[in-house]
Amino acid sequence: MSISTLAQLRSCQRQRVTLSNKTVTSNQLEAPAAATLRWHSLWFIGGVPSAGSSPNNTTTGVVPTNATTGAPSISSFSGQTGYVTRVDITASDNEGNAPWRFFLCDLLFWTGPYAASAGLTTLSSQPSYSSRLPTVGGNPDYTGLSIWQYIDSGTISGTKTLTVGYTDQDGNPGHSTGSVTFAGLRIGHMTQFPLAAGDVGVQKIESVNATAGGSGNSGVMVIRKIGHALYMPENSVPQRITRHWDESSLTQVFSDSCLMLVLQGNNVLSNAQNPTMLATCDISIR
Amino acid sequence: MAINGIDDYIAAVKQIVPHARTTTRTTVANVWFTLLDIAGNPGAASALAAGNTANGVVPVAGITGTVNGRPFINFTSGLGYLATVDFGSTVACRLRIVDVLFAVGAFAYNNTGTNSLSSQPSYSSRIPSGTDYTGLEIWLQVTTAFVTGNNWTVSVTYTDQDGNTGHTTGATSALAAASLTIGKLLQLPLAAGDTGVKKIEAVVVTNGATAMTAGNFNILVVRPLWEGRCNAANTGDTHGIGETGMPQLWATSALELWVNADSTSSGLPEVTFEIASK
Repeated sequence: MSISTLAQLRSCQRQRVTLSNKTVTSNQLEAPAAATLRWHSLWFIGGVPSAGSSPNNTTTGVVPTNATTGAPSISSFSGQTGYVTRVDITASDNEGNAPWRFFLCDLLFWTGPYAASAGLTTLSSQPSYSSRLPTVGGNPDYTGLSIWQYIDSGTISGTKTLTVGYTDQDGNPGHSTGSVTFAGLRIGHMTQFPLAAGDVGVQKIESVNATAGGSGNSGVMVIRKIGHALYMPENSVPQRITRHWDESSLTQVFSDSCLMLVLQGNNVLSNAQNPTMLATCDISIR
Repeated sequence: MAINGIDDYIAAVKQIVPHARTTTRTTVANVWFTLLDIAGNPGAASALAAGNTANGVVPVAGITGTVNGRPFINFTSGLGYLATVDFGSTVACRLRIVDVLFAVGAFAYNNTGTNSLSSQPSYSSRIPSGTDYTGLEIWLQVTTAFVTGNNWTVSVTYTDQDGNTGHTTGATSALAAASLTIGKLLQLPLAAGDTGVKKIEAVVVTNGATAMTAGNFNILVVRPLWEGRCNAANTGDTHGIGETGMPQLWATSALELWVNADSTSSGLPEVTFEIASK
């Protein structure tokens, strides 16, 4: 059943999910170049939830769930509808008063890692993530999904380029992203791929082409964004931000959603400051 | 059905629309630029030019098979509203979401004289009540960078919000090539007493000495929906329903993200907005 009224929203069952209780080190967060702000997944960092790892699958890819190591635990609400109605973020440190941005997403599919010069890898028998999407007219809505590159381990040396072949939101195969070229990125860094002209989503990853030189592994993921937040220290004092239901868009999530928190830190970091990021969200269920 | 209260909003169908650019555009400080043709998600438009200088066109939302760079809008019946907006950018800037109601172009830099339009398509189905033309704006959009000149002007003749014909924005001041870079947007002022526009009648161009030797532009009529401010690099905010005011939009709305950066790069803006429909 859906939540249709304020009274239902207030009275419905609710569970609080810990998205992150992790200490982020400067080395993990800092972008390689002062001028480049990079998104960084907390997936590979230990804490609560425990550190996750790469899918280690380059043939079919994997649809991770809330049971995948690294994903926040969600108590099953099978047969009911769940919505993110509140997101709360705080940090133990101010990091020089520089702002951080976050977004919360459902990690729908990923594949990797691919070595620096792996060349073209064509996937087959890719598992579907249609059950993790809201529906439009009874059909899964693949619009609004995005494709990202992630760094699997260590630090990328040299310059590496990835390009992804995919089936678009309407089921048309053979589309290609623009290439993403990167160097010096560290584990957990993420970069969004541009979609082909006219595309607004993705139904399936068909291939990954890793070219050029360099070393270090990276992979590809498909995510559904749930919402953004801005963390802004004030007067050198750590702050807390909370996004309530009227700002969180009552975004639907699923019992097996693989929630992932991604942050974009600043580039002026002190090696002595390793903030603990505590983030929770409420899932309202009916 | 209209969304008339909190319960209506909670019960409404909600579409989450992410909009991000993965490449930057060189901009001019404190000037609006479009990002429609810049790589990202949605995929970039194949061209900025409207593709019609005789009548103009009414741009529409992204749909299968088109390469117009605009987000898809999923609701097919009822009324839709821009509800919440999450936004951020890697540079200090202002961000804007508009519905592009009408576009004509691309005119060449040397289409001098009066370029009269005819049989202009109506955009009345994309304004509140079908009759409220107030609040609409006329903009020049550079589709190909201008070259060489420093004495180029444009004015637009239009029908105002009440249906009175022959009104004019007046000519711009003399514009130089350096100020007409690709993607730049320049708002044209309405005539005294006017608050909107019902139809574009003509586009008047002069190319005085030192003349331009290249350049193309569209003329747009837009309806502003939302605006936000990123005060510094890597900042942004979330605007809930109380802050957006939930402006109405349509299943065919041609949504476009504009940026007004404090410096000379558009940065990498990311906007996730919600369309609530009922």
